[in-house]
Amino acid sequence: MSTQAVIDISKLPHHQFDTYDPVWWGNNLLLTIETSMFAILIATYFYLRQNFAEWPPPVGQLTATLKPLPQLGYGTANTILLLVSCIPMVLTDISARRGNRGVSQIGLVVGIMCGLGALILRGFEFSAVYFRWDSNAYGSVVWFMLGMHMMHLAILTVEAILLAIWIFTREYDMKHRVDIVTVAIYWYWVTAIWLVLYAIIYFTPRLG
Amino acid sequence: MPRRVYTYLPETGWGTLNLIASLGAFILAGGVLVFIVNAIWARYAGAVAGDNPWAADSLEWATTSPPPNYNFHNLPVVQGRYPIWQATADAPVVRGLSTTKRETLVTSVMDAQPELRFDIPGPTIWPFLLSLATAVMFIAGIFTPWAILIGAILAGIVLACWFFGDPNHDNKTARETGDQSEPVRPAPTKLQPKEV
Repeated sequence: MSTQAVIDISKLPHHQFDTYDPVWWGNNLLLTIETSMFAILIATYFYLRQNFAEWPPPVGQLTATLKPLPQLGYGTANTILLLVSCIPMVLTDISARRGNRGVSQIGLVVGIMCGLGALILRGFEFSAVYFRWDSNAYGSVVWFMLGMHMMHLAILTVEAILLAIWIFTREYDMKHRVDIVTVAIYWYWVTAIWLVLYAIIYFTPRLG
Repeated sequence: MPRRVYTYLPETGWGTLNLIASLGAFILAGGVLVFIVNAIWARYAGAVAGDNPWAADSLEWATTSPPPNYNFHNLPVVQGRYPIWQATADAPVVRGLSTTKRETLVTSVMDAQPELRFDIPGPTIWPFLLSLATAVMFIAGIFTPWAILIGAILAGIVLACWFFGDPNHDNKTARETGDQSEPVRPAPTKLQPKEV
């Protein structure tokens, strides 16, 4: 038997951050798909707006002079909350890379609180729009934009809760540290998408 | 189009187009027939094709025919643009994937440098239950919109169970599951073949 050269990979790691890990690619490609979905939703919003003389459409005959703009309060509070929630997520992100379990745990818990708070505020945001989803095309598209973003917010929060349960009750392994970084990227994305939707839903009707 | 008339009426002017489409269908059917006859003939009367009967150069022909379910006992190392033609007798092989759980090799995109031994999920019931929950959600969603909400919650519960029910978990060694203050970096230098 002749000697055979062998490349021994038994010492390679199982998981690694960012571009090394298939999970990183999967998450980012998913977010690419979802970004184009939101782009289509935004195009739908402006397409529907073209078909209306007044946007949002006036409420009834008597109040035709009243422009039923969405109230700014809850939406603005939610925007601030989401921006603030990025701080614990950045800390969680960095600590997961460095392997600091305590900071990851605190950051995730604070992030989850922010996520739950944002979900509750989102519930009030629906009431700040003067129409129901079945009132008119304006109501439909705004509810759908708020709802699709709320769905991502809910998935994000549940993901963070599951990861927190894992690192509180089980081990703080590389696989789940990579997951924490992935959830943090998802978190930044949900915040960034919201900034765009916030500007469109709350401010474009006030411009014209 | 009147009912119960199997062909196009002359005034539609589609007769010639219909004839061409019909001829095309017969040509396709003839091609499929040749394939079926060839497959049956090859199964019972044809010469047995061995490993790599075409002397092809690409890696899918580097294993035996029929291939074992693991494809390669040791992963081959590509030595050039035409892997099989350029392979030398002492071509290095890759070793070190786990034999107790499912792993696959992740390499860099351009140079195919080994980077990770990525965990592949073991056999588990949860993906099946997830597809079941999804199917029930969409079928029941025809009848009531509440099915979407209930189905989404069910799917979420199944996903959580999948997350915590990793069948590989118990097979991991302490090194893989223990706290690590420093992340494991990939080997800084390129892995080089060693004589064994």
